[in-house]
Amino acid sequence: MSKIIYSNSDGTVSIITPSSNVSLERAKQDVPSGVSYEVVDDNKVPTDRTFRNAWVKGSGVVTEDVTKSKALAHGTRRKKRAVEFKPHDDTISLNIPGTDTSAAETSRAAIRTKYATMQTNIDNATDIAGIKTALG
Amino acid sequence: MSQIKNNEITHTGNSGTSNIVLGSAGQVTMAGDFTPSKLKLGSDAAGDTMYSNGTQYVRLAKGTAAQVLAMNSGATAPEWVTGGVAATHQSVAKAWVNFNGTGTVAINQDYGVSSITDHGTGDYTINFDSSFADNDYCFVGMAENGEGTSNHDSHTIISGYYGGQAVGSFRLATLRTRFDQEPPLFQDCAAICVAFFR
Repeated sequence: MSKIIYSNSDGTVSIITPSSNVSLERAKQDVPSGVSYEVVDDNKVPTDRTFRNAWVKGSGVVTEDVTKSKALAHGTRRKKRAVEFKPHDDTISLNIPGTDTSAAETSRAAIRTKYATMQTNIDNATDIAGIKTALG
Repeated sequence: MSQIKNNEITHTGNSGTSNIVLGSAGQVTMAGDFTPSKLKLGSDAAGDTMYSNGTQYVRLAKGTAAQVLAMNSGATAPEWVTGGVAATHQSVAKAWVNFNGTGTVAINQDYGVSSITDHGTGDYTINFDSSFADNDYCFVGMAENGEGTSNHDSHTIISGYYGGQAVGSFRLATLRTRFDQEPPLFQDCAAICVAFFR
């Protein structure tokens, strides 16, 4: 099976998967007019879509851009952190009776430390695997 | 007993008399039924059929497998078409696709679709094999819970892009929504099903 790959003006890559009911030549017509493209084998496109929006077109291959992947990883990190913070934030901000606000603050401090370490590890990663490891 | 006279053959059988008249213009008129066992129209092949073109009966060569007989656009003659009424009636989807937007994006099944373009996470264009006449077509779609879990707080919706509905393609987003946390996010899904009507 083949894919048709082309770059967009914003640096992202689009990947066309032809229907088995049409020829590859027909599928090539689905590339935007005037845009250069390449036909590649399936195995030239990553299968792990964790950082799909960081994919870029190389020569006959689609690769994951490390810098863009780090930016995406930081977004994921912030979302994860917000989810963990939320119950403790509620405890403190709402001053819920019967709750231990000091314990909540201790938990928040631990979360801050955990995600600060994750942030550093993401920034220090040199490849995609390292970024994924840092995300946990 | 048969008798031949000027422009006419008369046959008298047990059930009575029948005439075959040969007209001056070459036409043949029969008083009885015409029951030929080996009628030939020329270049005949198994599966051919015969219809009148208003002047004479002519041969319609057989169609191909799964084709059906329909009236042509001028309503003057029959023709073989693929898909038949099902392909043209407004009640029937003109295109549909079931595809997997995770891992290696793959089309599971489709009709009337030439390809899927993957632009990013939860961001796809469906390209039609044949363009619609205009943008007034209707689309319907549904996607599986993209989190891949049995979490009933999480669901996936499909949204068309503003300006993404073109005669030859349709761009859509699959979005994760959760009741318990976070705003909607672009989300890849293992089963995305969309159909188009016009």
